[in-house]
Amino acid sequence: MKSSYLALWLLLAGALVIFLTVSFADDITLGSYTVKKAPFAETLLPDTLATETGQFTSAEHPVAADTVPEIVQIDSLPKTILLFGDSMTMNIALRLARYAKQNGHDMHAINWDSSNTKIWAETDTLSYYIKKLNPDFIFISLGSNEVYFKDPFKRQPNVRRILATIGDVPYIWIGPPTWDNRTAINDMLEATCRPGTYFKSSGMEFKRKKDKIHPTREASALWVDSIMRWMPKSAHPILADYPNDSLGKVNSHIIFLKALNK
Amino acid sequence: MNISELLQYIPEIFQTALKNIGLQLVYDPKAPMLFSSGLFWMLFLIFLPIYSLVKGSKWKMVVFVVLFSLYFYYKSSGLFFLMLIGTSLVDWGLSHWIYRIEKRGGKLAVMWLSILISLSILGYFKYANFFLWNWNQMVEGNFQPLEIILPVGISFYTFQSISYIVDVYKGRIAPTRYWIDYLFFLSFFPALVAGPIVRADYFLPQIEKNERPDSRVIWAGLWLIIVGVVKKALIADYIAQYNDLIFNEPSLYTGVQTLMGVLGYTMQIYCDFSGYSDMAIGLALIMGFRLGINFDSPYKSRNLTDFWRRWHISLSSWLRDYVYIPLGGNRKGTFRTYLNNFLTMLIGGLWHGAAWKFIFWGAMHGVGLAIHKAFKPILVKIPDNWFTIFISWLLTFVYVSLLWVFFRAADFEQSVLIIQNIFVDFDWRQIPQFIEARPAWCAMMFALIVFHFFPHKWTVAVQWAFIRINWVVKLIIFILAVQLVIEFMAEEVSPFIYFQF
Repeated sequence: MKSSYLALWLLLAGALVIFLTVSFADDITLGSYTVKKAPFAETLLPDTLATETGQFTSAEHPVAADTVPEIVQIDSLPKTILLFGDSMTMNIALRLARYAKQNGHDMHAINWDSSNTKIWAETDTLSYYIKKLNPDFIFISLGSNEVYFKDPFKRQPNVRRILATIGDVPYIWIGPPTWDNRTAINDMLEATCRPGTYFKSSGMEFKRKKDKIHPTREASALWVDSIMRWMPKSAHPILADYPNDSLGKVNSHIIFLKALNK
Repeated sequence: MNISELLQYIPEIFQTALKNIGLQLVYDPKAPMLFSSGLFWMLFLIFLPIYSLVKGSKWKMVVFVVLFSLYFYYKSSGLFFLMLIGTSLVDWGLSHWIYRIEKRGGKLAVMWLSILISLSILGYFKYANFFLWNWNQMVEGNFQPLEIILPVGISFYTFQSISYIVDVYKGRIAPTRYWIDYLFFLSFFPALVAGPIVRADYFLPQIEKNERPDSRVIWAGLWLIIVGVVKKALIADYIAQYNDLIFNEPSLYTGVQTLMGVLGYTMQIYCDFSGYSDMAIGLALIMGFRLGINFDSPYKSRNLTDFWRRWHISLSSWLRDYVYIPLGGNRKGTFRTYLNNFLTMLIGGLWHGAAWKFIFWGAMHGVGLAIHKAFKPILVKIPDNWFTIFISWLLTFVYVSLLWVFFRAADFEQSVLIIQNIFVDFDWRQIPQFIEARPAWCAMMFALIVFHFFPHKWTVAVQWAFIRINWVVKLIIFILAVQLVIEFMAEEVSPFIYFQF
């Protein structure tokens, strides 16, 4: 290769190697900020990664969730799914989107960093997106930012307002993956949601990011697998077949809302 | 996991990676090949050393680039790459026929035959449903749209093929001696799917010359690619997230929010399209080819005529040379000049898409150009000072921005609603709240506007600085630019706005 092209080739190749390496390596954090990675790992090894993380033993036994006593017939119609919630949402959405594609559902996700039940209850964001997307199945991932509340039951009116906004649309509330012994928020959410609509994530073991709070992308994928295996026992089961390896790249349709710092 | 356990997984991981790379390489209508994608980056790393080796021989270089270009088109448009080959064969054959015929009438007939074939193909793929829909509206029939897939970039290469045939007819160029040279011109991958529209008289001599670029030209090309990626994948895609909210549901937003969405789209379409052009021009430069400039800070324009000399230059100059001047240009009196201007812009509007909104957009630009021409004798008498410069710039910018609303909105009613919203429901006091709610969006828009108004010599100076700096610093700049894109990127890369034109 001529030297003029060689220098360019080395630059492009060097940069690619760096991005590839970072893509497969552990998360890089700068203070509280996690540097985003190029999606090479997800593109090249989408499912291998998810099955190779060893520390997620309880994913095989998703017994923590609240179930309905009788078997409910699975609703086999394709759904328009809305997933919304706090910063846990993004990684859930990445996996849930693969289930959605596999089962013919259409999925949209709203990731609102640092949000909590109060913010979602008091703003019109949820009603706006329900009106806009007209979902017929909803997943909620909220509660992680309220784990440290001394009396989580003070937040119960917010949860009720959110459920009232959702109305008759079937939903599943994915409980926060609590990272210490505080489980009161889970108790409050379980008590407030209808039977068979609350997936209790506390008690499960997660491989977490360096903040020791957020499950890693791989662990989140296994978390979603657990939820979907539990789906037939929920109040309104929908099609949730395991996603095929050949699905390729899947668009998660995630809308990111900025944190309000409230 | 220890090393021996990890080693067990390596064959499986390798196999999976290979399988997934294979899946990425086949045609997927939802994933056209984008210059800003990781896949293109990897393929270019394979392309570059081979290109460097074959560059010494014109024949090897032409064959290799044609094969790569056809694969590039296959990845974006599937089997339509066969149509591209067919089009090139027909054009090339007809161009030789034109060249051999001695009688002017015969030459003219063959030229029109070629243009008719090109426009028929474009018409079928791009405009058939539009004309059928309008026909059914007139006769009040039932409209069943035909299932037609629009081949990516067909409008661009059709215009290139028409310019080639017309130039051969006019004797400006001789037809290429070999078909593969013409196929190289028509399928040249940097400009294939979204321009710039390359002119045969400018490009074909470069194939013959087969000039090897020096390192300054190569680094200038890389700089343009970095600028293009930042414009498209960082700025345009990021600000689009907000603009889409406004244009999808304009009734839900206040006047201030709507105005910001309109300003946002004005900058988004510029960054999107000029970013793609920068990448295409940069790639071509690296390969030793010049495509000319396609955007020259268009929002600095002080009137519409100036705007069209700076916006999508390859299209506006094509329309000038192959539509406006053949219609008579300004040689047939004042009224015909205005009419020719109007008709040219109408065709320009229709070129952008098969919908009345594009025709309206083009027509209104035609009206604006005619008004500017009509008032030019008065305007030139107004003294040039900061105030008049600002007012003329503001009028042009507002007019262009408002017309982008018709270009972007779903239909005419929605466009009117958006404009109405700005004028009826506007409260200045909401501006600080807007800035507080969307600081990153506002910061990006502000930076973009500031950079846009930089003097041209500053941008040239920055480019030269990049060319001269140390290799390691170049690498760091490249990595930082890509990482910035990753930090801001949406979950999936948006296709280029001009892909389907």
